[in-house]
Amino acid sequence: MTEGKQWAVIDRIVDGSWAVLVFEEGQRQLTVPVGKLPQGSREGMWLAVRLKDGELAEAELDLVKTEEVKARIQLKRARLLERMRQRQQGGT
Amino acid sequence: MRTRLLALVLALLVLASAAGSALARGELAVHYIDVGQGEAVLLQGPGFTILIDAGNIGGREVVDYLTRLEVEAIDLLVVTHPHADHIGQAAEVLRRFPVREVWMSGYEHYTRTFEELLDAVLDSDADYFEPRAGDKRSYGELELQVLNPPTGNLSRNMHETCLMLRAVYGQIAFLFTGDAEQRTEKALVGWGLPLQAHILQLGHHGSRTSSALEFLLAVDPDLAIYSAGACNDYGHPHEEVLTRLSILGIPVYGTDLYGTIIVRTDGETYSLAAEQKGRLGETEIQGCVDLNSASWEELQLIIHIGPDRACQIMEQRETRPFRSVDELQSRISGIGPKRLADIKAQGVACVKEVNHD
Repeated sequence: MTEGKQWAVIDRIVDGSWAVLVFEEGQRQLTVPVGKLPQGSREGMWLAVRLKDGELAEAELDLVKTEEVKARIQLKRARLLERMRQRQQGGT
Repeated sequence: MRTRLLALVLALLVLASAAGSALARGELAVHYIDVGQGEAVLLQGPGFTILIDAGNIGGREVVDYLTRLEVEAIDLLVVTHPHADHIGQAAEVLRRFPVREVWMSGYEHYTRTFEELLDAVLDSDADYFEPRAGDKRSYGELELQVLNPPTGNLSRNMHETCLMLRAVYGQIAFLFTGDAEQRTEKALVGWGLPLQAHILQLGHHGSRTSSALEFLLAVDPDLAIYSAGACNDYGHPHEEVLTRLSILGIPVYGTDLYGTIIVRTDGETYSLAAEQKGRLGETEIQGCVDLNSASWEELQLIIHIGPDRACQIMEQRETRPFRSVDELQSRISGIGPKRLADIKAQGVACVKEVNHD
């Protein structure tokens, strides 16, 4: 049965052969052959996917979502570094 | 066969003898926690607790293990790299235990798992540091030496940015490699960093991507430990790595087979313990190892049958039972005429008559 569209991120490529996807909902993981990923896929990119009988049926890169998450991650790491800079300067 | 079986039993006796003893004063215990297909190592010594990586998402093994050991606080949480099988339970660790400091490489991964980890660090009071090769930190008698990544811009390849650590306690050294691959291993050898270690944690769960020969020669370990889940999707640990270690005479222990593995040292000598006393040691082989009924551990008593091929045999017999040992050649990858001849000459593998009751 084909399921509705979901979002998943390419958490890692293992041994150059397998891609581990982590779904946005529930942190479920799915391991698929890298050949099933869209052209240009890299670790850390988000995909809009459809599953059929638990297998990956469709996958499309979602570069907008990837950029959104990237911006949030960059901001949060910058806040951590800034917090440390302030502590080292004797601030709070 | 007798020699190999004896060696295994002896190893397990050594493991069992040290298991369960309390953390003595002046002793460092390094716990390679069984987190399935992931990684988490706990270092507990006099006055310090350090956690290197925190298992896979979807599990609770790390928090459960720390709770069982009555860990009250963590001085340092090291995140070797942001893949989910290394940071999966890190946010929960930060929520459940006071963590004084967190180390990461600085590589930004655009996953929810990594974002939750950053949120948890921000919500905690932990210090944050991105160390580089050459940095050192002492915790009592323990010295942590950072081997990777080098200073300068981080590589775009996450595994090349892995935090790699050498931990030295008295005369005993441990190497923690994360998922560093052969390219990084060879670079470290080239830079001439101190790599020698008594206990080597094999890179990338024993994958062929790691454990280059020149790196193994430079580390020159007494023994190697890997963390992997039984019958994982990737065939870790890979046969090439196990063969390389075997040729070098380096014994290897995996969490898939032994459960949580604990190395204890007073800085002069060390002992090895396994939380599960070794399922092999409790198994009596009744004449031969039946391809259709033997456990995953028993199957590995057969020559040329390692963790991955044992899984293949178990999958194949679900589809159709083996009718003869000869079928290994046609049904199991990597078993050709030469290896089949070795297996038959060893005489351990058999196919018992199927009982039609």
